[in-house]
Amino acid sequence: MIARLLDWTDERLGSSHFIHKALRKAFPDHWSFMLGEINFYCFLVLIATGTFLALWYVPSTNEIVYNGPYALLRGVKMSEAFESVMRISFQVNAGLLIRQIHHWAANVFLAAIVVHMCRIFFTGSFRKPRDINWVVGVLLFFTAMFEGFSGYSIPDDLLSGMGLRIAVSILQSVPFVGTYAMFWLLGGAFPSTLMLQRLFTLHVYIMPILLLGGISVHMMILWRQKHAQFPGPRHTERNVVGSPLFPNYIVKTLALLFGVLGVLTMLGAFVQINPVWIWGPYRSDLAITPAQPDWYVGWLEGALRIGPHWAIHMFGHMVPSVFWPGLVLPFIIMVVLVSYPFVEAFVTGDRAEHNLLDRPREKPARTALGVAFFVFMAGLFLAGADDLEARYTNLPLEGLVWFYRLFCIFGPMLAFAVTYALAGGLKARGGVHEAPRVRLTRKAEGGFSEDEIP
Amino acid sequence: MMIAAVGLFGLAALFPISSLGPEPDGTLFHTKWRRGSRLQRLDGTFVKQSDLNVGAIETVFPEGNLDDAQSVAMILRMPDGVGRDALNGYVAYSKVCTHAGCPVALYRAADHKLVCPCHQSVFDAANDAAVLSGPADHALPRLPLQIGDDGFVRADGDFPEPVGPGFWEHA
Repeated sequence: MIARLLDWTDERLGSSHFIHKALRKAFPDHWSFMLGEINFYCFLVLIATGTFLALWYVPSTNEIVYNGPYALLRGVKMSEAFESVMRISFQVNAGLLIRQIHHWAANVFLAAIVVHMCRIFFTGSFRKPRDINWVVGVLLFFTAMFEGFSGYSIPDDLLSGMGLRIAVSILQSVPFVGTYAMFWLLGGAFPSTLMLQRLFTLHVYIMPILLLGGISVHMMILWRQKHAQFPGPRHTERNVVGSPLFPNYIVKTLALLFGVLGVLTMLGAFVQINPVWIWGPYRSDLAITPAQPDWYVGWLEGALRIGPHWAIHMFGHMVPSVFWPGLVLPFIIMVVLVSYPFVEAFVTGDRAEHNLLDRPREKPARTALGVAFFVFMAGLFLAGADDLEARYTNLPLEGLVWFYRLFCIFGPMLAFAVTYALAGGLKARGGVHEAPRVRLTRKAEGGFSEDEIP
Repeated sequence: MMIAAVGLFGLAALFPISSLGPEPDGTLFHTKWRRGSRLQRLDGTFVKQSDLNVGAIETVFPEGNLDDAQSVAMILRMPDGVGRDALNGYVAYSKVCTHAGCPVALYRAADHKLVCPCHQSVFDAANDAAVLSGPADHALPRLPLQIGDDGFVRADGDFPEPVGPGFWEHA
């Protein structure tokens, strides 16, 4: 039956040769090579749950009076958008579960991307020929961040409205074109009647298509270039040692898929996330305190809090201070990430192809740079919750702001020095010690003899 | 030829793109406050001179424009002798933070500090809402006030400068 089906397709597509080869394609075995797949499976979950939510969500700012089952908000004026999110949460069967899974999947998606990027960076997997895929990956990361934020913004609850207001203020700060950019994006000044329609279109059409296209390219390049591997017996720059796609790798990756599905479903079922009915609908005169964004925007939030207040006034024009932490800093970070493989190749003069990975300790400078960058981002991230930290530690907020400013300057330097020293020390102690390889020979009388193989 | 065709196509694409939003014009420079506008609370009532105790603060909108996000303001009653050019103890400021646009929703009456809950900018209510600390780069615009014979507090015109976060055309 299956054979006949295969014959049927093969006679029309001539695909059996490709499938036959693909099923035997070798993938190197290491747990860290599976990290990227977590992203992919989160993406699939996001598409499935997001499609479900889109069946009920109404991207409209029209004001209505709530009259649903949640008694505490009855009689409160709200947008149709917020009302539809309330309906998803309280009236649609499994609506709340799907909404929570969707939100959790977005958070895990971004987290898994960061972990995946760390693996690529610290093992030197971004070197030629995979530098091109590193660039695609970095752009995917930023697209995913915007996609996440646009989704976070559309329920029109108080928290999301505050976040959107801040994002629009950043957009508005761009020299020359900022006000036009805001009016064009939202179809008017904030809060415009068209803004949810625009963000919804971005969130469910434009950004997902960019992500889907980017992920496809990312995986096609991976397929074409073959996976990198750690050094080991028989591992060379010119081969790939591992298990075949079928049956070994298929089983492993399916297990991972079900694992991701399971974890996300458990999170959605048992850990409350974004209870919009507690925040209430967005109103321009109200704010929630303390208010923190989803974790992956935390570093931007922190940058806004500790950024310099340098507003520039010249020739009757203004560059507001949010421009520096809100746009210049993320842009610099993106440029640094995108260009890193090429800068490293230029500095080290190493333009050779690399299919064997490094252990982090073998490249102390790169590892130290990576840790320094991580510490910088962690400083910004922690600064994004400085009001909470001030409350729980009774330290003055002003002092915390200065602490994080200094931390973001000197912390990375210290981290670089410490990591460089540690990695250098580990490197000096030597690499992986391979067990001596021996040939066992059974003797006629029943014992064994060992001959070392050089 | 190819380049000309692509260029022409790009030019044609500008036509629909230009209708994505209205021209900003002066939108960001004006709010709904007019000379003589009474200060309306969200519940529909108007602020009278006798309404606020010392240290009190209320969120207000220009009469008939409840919920207008650009116009939202707050009126404060300062102690005697405190607050530059206070009108019978009253001062009023825009409630839209000049940093990133959040509502400046916290007030500590003891030292007249207005605090934005988003990024912790602190403004001095006793001194034209000047920035005391935090990331904001300019003061909250002040709403000029007048008090009529009927006892209603009224605006004495629009804010003298754009409200909310800065932008390129903001001088």
